[in-house]
Amino acid sequence: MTQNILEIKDLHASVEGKQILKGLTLTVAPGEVAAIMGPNGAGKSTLANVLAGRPGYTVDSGSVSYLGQDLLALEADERACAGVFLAFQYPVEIPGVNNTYFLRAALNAQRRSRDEEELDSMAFLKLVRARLKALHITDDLLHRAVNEGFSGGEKKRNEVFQMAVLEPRLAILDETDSGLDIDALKIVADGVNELRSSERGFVVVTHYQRLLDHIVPDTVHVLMDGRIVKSGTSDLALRLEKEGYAWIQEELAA
Amino acid sequence: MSLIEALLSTAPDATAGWWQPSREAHRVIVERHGLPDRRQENWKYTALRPIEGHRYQAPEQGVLQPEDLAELLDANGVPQLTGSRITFVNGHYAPALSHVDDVAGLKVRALSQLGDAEAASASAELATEFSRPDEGFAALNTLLASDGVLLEFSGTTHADGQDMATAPVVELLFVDVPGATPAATAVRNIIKIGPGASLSLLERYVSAGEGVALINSLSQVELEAKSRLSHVRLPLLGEERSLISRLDVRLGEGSDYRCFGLDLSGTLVRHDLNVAMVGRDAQASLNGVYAPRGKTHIDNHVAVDHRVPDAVSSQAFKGVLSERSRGVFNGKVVVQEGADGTDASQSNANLLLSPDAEIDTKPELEIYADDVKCAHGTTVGALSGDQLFYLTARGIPEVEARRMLTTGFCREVLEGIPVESVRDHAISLLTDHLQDIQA
Repeated sequence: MTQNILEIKDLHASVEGKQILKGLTLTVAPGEVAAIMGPNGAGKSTLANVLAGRPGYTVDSGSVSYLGQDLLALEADERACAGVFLAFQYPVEIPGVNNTYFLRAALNAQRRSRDEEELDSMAFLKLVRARLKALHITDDLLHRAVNEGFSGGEKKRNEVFQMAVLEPRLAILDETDSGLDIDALKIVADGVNELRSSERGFVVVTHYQRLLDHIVPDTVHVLMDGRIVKSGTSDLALRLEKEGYAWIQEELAA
Repeated sequence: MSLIEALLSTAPDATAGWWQPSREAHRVIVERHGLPDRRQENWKYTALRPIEGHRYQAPEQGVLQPEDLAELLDANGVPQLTGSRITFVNGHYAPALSHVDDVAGLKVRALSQLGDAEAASASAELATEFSRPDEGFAALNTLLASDGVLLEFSGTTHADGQDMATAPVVELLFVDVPGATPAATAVRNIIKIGPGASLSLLERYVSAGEGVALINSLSQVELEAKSRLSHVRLPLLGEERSLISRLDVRLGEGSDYRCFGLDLSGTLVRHDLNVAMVGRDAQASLNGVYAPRGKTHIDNHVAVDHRVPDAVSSQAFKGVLSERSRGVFNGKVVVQEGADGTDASQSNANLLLSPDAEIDTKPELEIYADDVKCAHGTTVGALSGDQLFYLTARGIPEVEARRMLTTGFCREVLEGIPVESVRDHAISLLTDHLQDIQA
């Protein structure tokens, strides 16, 4: 049996003293796209941020194993170097830091951690061009400061582009569909689909089914009140879209 | 010995006759007012204590050979730039270290070399009276200046929209080489850009060796109608050097002045940048970056005076303060009665990287006209946790991420320098400086 990409067991986590995750258990196998759905306030973004190591999120108990190692013992940059990637719900604008420069620094930091040789700017540019081509996106984002003045769609496109360059083993997409019109959504989804592979796992956090029309998940998990309360296939997402979450609550109460 | 007594003792013995009456007039002013102190509003946050207590002397001249200079510039990471360079060592013109390109309409001379007839075009500036109690250093400059440049450019009229990047470049290089005793020097520069001419000016200060030095620099700049000047100021000061500089700029109709300052070091640095909009449709873009560390104190006082309608001015200053350093920013905008259609903006953003660092920042707006656009904004903060997480979440180690953010924060300001080689030089000075700062 191949090793799971991610194994979360009975995870409890809190933000500013408030408990948000209350015993979450989830497994992601290689090649799997796992969708996490749930109503507002269920803890979806908290899960994404806890996995990426964002400061301010406290793990109270439980474990997270990533490719067999203790993910929670690593700092945010170490997690990234180990192959964890978070596509941000709200990508941050960083004036004064060029997008290409930033991405090369990130890739080279990751390569250093794997004892691989750093890429010079020529080699890096070649790689970038190849990725852009594969994702069918233009290079206009490269020359600007990181996310500065980007539209909502451009920001999310930039996230997917970074993912394509950094080639993570585990990609976590935090509400990647929020704030996107249908055309932008399609570009982003196509990019993600391009990156699906048998080596890579995805955790796709979303509030709406519509993203899952384009990124068809292998498994769908319902997150309510800090726990996964129901799991199924993409049919589950369709039912949630039609009927909302009330029926699950009723099921749980029964 | 008080600071003023010490400085007065450095007065030059003999100077050009045409300059003498103004010097004498300013001796009277200096004796009346002395130097400014913290009771004056303009000096409230900058005490002179760091430069007091030294027995200043006028340093020797002629102490630097061309090969010394080449070595010194190399050691300071100063690249060879194309264009003219006029060099002053310890406040005295150094002809062997200077060359002026053959550019039509460009006249660059040292004040000490001017004959009586030529001196006429500098006489109005040298006779300018600095009689306010808070401008003692300017009065002292007139009295003490050993030399300086008279730069006149009436060169080729630029085509509208022509890139400033291609204007001729002139560098004013001031090297200080103090000896065993603390050195005080004063230089005076007069810069006149003729109608329609475009010039790029680089004003650089470089310190050689160890020792205490105090430099008093005063420049008077006149932009005639539709002329353009980009002015980059890089004081690469040694740890024990201090610089008191004043820059008075007058902008004629439709002229365009862009100034960029980068202050990283020294004991005490004070800039007074006074810009008068005297012609309609003039544009002034005033920019600065300061990143003091250790106990360095850097004070930028900017004052823009809109005297006529329809002129545009902007001030953009950014500071990164670490260790026990201090910064002061005072940005003043005056819109005089009748100066309608003025568009004046001002921003000052600061990163405080240490609990022991301090910034005092103050916008001052005085508006006497009705139809005016004035915007100002000031921020003081630490690095953004969200930005930091974004970078580290991509694998960049925290120390490197902090450095990228700090550099990026102020780099923006320097991106506007029109001449590429100068821009790259300024940005690399900044990057190197921030390299080992504990963010």
